[in-house]
Amino acid sequence: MSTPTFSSPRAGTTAKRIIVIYHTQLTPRVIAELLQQFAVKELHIGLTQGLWRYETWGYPIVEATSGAEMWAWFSGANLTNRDVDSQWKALANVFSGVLCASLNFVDNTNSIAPRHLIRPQFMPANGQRFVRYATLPREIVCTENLTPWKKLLPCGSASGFASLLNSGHVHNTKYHSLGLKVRVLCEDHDEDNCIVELTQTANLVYDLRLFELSNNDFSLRRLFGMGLNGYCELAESSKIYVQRNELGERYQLVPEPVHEVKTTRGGHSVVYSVYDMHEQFKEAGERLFNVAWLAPKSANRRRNLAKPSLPPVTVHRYLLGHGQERGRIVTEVTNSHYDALPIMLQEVIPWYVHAYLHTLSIRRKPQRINEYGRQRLPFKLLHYTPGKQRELPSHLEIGFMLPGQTSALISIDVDYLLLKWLEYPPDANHGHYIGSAIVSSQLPMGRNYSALPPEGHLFEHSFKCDTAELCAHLHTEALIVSLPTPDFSMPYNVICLACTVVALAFGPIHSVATKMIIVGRQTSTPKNFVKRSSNQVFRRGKAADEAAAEGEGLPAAGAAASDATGVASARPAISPGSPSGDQPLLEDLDEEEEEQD
Amino acid sequence: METSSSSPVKPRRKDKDEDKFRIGATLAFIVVIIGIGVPMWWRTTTVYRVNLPSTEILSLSETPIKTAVQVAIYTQDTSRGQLLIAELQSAFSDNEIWSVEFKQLSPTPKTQEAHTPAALEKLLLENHVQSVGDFMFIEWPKLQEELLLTTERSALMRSDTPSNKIAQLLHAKILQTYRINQILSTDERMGAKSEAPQPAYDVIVSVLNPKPKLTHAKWNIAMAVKTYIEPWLAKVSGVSNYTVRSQWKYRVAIEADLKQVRDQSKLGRHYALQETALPHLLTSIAQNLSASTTDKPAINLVVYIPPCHIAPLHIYNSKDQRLTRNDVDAFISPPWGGFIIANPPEHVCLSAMSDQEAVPYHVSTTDNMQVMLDQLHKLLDISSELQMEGVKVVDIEQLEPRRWEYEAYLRRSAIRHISTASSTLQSLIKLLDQISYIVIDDEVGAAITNSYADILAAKAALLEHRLADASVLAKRAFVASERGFFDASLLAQLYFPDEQKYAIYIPLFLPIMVPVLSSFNMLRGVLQARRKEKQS
Repeated sequence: MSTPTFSSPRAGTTAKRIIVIYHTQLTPRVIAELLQQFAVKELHIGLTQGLWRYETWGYPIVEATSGAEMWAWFSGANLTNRDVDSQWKALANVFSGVLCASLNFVDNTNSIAPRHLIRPQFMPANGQRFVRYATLPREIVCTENLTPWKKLLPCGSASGFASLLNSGHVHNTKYHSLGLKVRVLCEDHDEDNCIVELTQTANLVYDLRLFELSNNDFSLRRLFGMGLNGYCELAESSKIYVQRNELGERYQLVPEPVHEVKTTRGGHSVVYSVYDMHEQFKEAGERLFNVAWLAPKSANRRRNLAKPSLPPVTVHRYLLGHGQERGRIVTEVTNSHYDALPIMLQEVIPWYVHAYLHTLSIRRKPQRINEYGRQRLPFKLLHYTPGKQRELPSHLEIGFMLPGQTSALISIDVDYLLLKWLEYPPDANHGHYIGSAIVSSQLPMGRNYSALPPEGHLFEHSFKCDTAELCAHLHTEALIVSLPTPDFSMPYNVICLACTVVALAFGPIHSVATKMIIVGRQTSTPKNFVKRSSNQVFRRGKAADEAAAEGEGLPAAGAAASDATGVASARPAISPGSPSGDQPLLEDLDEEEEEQD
Repeated sequence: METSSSSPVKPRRKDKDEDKFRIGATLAFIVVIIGIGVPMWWRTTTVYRVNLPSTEILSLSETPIKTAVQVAIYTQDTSRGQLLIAELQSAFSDNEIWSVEFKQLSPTPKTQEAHTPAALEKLLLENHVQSVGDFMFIEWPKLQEELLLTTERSALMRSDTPSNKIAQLLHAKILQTYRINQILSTDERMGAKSEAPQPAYDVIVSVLNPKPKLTHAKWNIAMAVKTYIEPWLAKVSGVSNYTVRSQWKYRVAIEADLKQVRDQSKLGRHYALQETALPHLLTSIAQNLSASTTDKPAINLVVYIPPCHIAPLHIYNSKDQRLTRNDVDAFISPPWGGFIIANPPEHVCLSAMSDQEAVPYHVSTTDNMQVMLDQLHKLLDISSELQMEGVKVVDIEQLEPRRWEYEAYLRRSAIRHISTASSTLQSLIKLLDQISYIVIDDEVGAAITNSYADILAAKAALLEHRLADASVLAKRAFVASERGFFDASLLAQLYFPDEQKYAIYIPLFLPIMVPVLSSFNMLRGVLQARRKEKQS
């Protein structure tokens, strides 16, 4: 599998005073308005489909978690926590519209204020700063996000690298991620003198097996469906970098690259071939630029690829436990380096999952052993904000030193809550997501590492980075839990059932309270043949009973059984209480009379 | 056969004694279930609605919106003034919209000696205080035209100007009766129904440069906007607030059929844009003008720089006549905004066509900004374009609009706000009558009640000659009515209509109601029996 990582970072750097932000040239107006309306100094949004495989792909240039991820730094005079909360929500709503993503679901119930792991990149140390972070793991990234994302570029999708991003091909990838980053850098002594930087990134990973090729060759045209039609006229630099060492060695490039860059970062050298679009399209005339990667014919096609070297830190996460009541969230961090590494972990546990801090533990094992023993690792740092039902997620940040060639298993026990029936999503049995955790570490070497330094925005800025700071943020898998899910027709059933029971009880109570049972005696032969004959049968059989009843001279209820017709037994009857007693008290008697007529 | 009097079924004595309890129980069931249960169920399941002044709101349109205006007339000859006033008063006597109060300003020795109209006006204003919306006619015999409108609240007239000319001017220019009629008429066919001015607008100046490589246009649009547009908007922001923004947009292609036309220029040709294609052109660029974070309506002012392969671009009508005037190709489409075609200079395109390096050039600020200002005038509908014979209007010397024009705009907006707010409230009340599940919570209820109160106050203010107050009140009423009408909480019960309410409770009510209702029948029987007994 070959994984060319394609990234087109761009910076519309408009160094202007904040007042002039009413007037924009390269920056989209919406970004300028956002900086006026909100006290945002830094904003990161990632929309990603698929999972980044650290073991085989190394570390990405721009980190992202699957689904939508968003964090922002706020800073301003007289800004309170409450202001930031409302601004954060409004900001998410704005970008929900701008990028057509469901970022409008970001609110206080799924946002946290990270304490240690997420650091500001540009902001001055003095002054108040607020940060908010949220992920929406359920978000599905698709064409409707790509189109507005491309619209934010000054050239749109008309020319330049963005013209390669055609939704049909982009969404056939194993992994694709769109990124948006806004940063404001102000002078320390002059708050109004600022630089606004907007960076948009696209990160795609292709699986060549999905192309069903006869050989391992591939090209830009094959990957994107078309060649490159030029460069954006407003771009100062427009370059394609192709890695030539490691797996890239096997391929022959057509056309032959003119430039080659060799960089050494963190003790690790990488060779890149560079195609400068400004040179390629120097001459007038319309054409498409294409680069082809040709695999050697002799090589065994399928499975002789050298296994890529494992990155020093890898992470995984999974859910333990069974049933819909309790579980355990487990994050596994493996250090395959020989030396100890500092590890930071940030977990956001949504409010519908109740975490118990006392069960938090880090167990360790040497990398080659399969099972974890009782050996524990001590925390160097622990920050925990307990969650509140329907208000706040639990927020956990821990830091520890992970010895070399060792895996650590961080586990915390959780309870699943029973939600209110309106809180379930439309597809309730799909399950609820727990966003991915972020693991951060200081890498000892630059192998597999190509992230941009905080001060840079172009890919080439990562070459000149000679600092020892190789800070990697890794995102784990997102989890899905199935919370206890009720039967949603229940409320209606309960109402109906309760109503029926009440009604059933009401009927007899009403009858008993308001009705008297009076038995009318049949004194003449019924006209109906069946009744008559049955009458005769009963009379003969129960003559004695009849005589006894008549002897008493009162039509008692008990005698009803002996009475042949028994017509009146169930009919309501009431006596007016008149002394005369010769009133037709029963409607049934009237009926009887009618029958007798 | 036995008769009923000798029925064999005779109630026992005990049963007879208990009969009164049975009747009591029946009555109790009826009272509890029908008297208490049903109303309680109705109340607890009913849709929440605040009490609204519904009948008052529905009768809002019965009292017409009437505006009081004071017009002062100064004549050198008192008798002529009296005559004019008498004639004008009779002309305006039975007007439904206006209650015009004419006031005669009598000449004093000082005014007789005034040498210029301005001095005379100043003298007159010393004794006669004009409030917002008032007007004054000053006689000035040496005038060439019959009437001359100044930039303030006054007009000069000749000694022989007839009263019907003055009335005509008042109707057409000062009061703008025909436009008020358009606003107030409920007939859709009267046309020209523009929307009521919103409380806030974004004015977005967009410069479109589709081929930045070939047409290397330079323009400090921020500075241009700041010098031309912003000061002017600041002068007219009495009704609405305006925020001006500008942006550059690249690679935005227009979608329209262009026709090449040969001509005598150095390029040897220009391109024709058909008048009928203009709406499609706006549609194709409107989606590329970037999203906004605010929900304020936008007024778009677009400056389009045609790339050299389709430049110069001119607008043609259906008769193939070129519509370019004074080298300007522009059009407006209210309320969306305006569009200006800023053709690059000839030499730029000449060098671009011969594949040379693009020549940077500056877009002319004055030309485009003047067109843009004129477009804004029209879009905001402040200026009065109407031409009248024998009437001359003094040209504007400063940036702000003429006083009488602006005040007519204020008056018009106030009337439009009042009428829009009233009709909004009325349709809301009608909807409430028709659709039973619309919720009116306290906040919306307050908005509606406030809006109603403000409408009344604004009407009163108009009638009492307080235009400034009326404008503020009418705007407030309009905003509150819109908020009430479009509040999302109105539809909180959208998916739970009344039918469902009945369906859910039928299992309870059907079995309970049948015996309870049938016991009515029985009670009736008992009562009848008693009556019969008393009679006998």
